[in-house]
Formats: sequence, structure tokens, C-alpha cells
Amino acid sequence: MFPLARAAQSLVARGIQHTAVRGAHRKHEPTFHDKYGTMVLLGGASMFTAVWSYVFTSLNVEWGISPVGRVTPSEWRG
Amino acid sequence: LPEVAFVRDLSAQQRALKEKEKASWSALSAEEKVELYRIKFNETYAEMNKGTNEWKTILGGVLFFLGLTGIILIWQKHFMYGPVPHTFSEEWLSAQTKRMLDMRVNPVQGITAQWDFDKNEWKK
Repeated sequence: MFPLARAAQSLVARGIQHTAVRGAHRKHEPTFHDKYGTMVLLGGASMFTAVWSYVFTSLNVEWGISPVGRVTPSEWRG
Repeated sequence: LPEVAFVRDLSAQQRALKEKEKASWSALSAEEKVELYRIKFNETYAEMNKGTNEWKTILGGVLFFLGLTGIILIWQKHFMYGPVPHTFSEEWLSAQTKRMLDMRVNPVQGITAQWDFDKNEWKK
């Protein structure tokens, strides 16, 4: 999580720096992550939630969850 | 190694500026000072230390491949697994559970330890 916080803070610093250096003759080229990062993140997250919500609800896989707290015992003799 | 400036081949304008740098620095304007900095260094500290958006690509990629794993599971269920055995039906599980409790299976820390025999319910 720490690099996440550091990146978030540096984005603020970068914004301030861009307003300060108006005559900057250097345009820092947007990287792949700048261009597509958000799209990749959202796409991956939505794909993940779609697939696994289907797996856990509709796929009828026997997960073998413990009966404790879940199953009501019923008579077996006979 | 000896220190080397970022820009090694100076234009005529930049060479004139380096000459002016030899005089009093208070004579330099703000833009000239910035230009001198840019001759010496590639990036400012802010530019050098700034974070990237790399984490978005990484996290998105990780989630994508975890999603692929889920797709593998779906494929397996569809093409490979047989039908769920009848011993997993609700009726069988409840009868099985009662039989395990009647037999006092794992009474110390296991399933029987979780059942309250006085109130006839699972312990909270």
C-alpha cells in the first residue's frame, strides 16, 4: 500500500510543478500507464468480478462448506 | 567519475548564457537560471521523484489473470466434472450431520464441540 500512497502524493506534487514551470520546453511523454492504466485497471476489475460472481453463484460447484452454523440436522435412523 | 552536465553540446545561446553565469548571479533572470539548471540536470527533484501510474497496469493485469483462472474453473465444471454426488444434497447433508453429532465426532475442538446439545442448536 505504501507505493500507492507515495504515487498519490506525487500526483499532487506533479500538478503543482506543472503550474509552476510554465515555460517548460520539455513535454514529458505520457507513458503506457498514463494512457491505458485506468482502462486496464477497470477492465481487469470488471472481468474479475463478472467471472467470479458467476462462479460463486450460478456455477453449481460443490465447495464443501462446513455444515457448522449452516445445516440443520435431521433424523437419519430408519 | 567526474561530474558531467546533462547537455554536453551547447548551442551558441547556451554558451553565451554560461559566459553570463561567470558574472554576478543576481544579474540572471529566473528563466535564465532555469535554463542553466536544465543544462546541468535532466530532471528536477519533483520530476525525478514523481510516482507513476504503473500500479494501475499491474493491478489490472493481476485481476485479469485471476479472472482467467475463474474461466478455467468454468471450463472444468462444464466439460470435465461429472454430476455432483447425491451425498451433497440438502437432505443427505442434514442426516449426515445429525449422525456425526450422535456419534460425537471430534468432540474436543471439531464439529461436536460446535453443537449445543442442551439448546439443540449450533453454538454462537
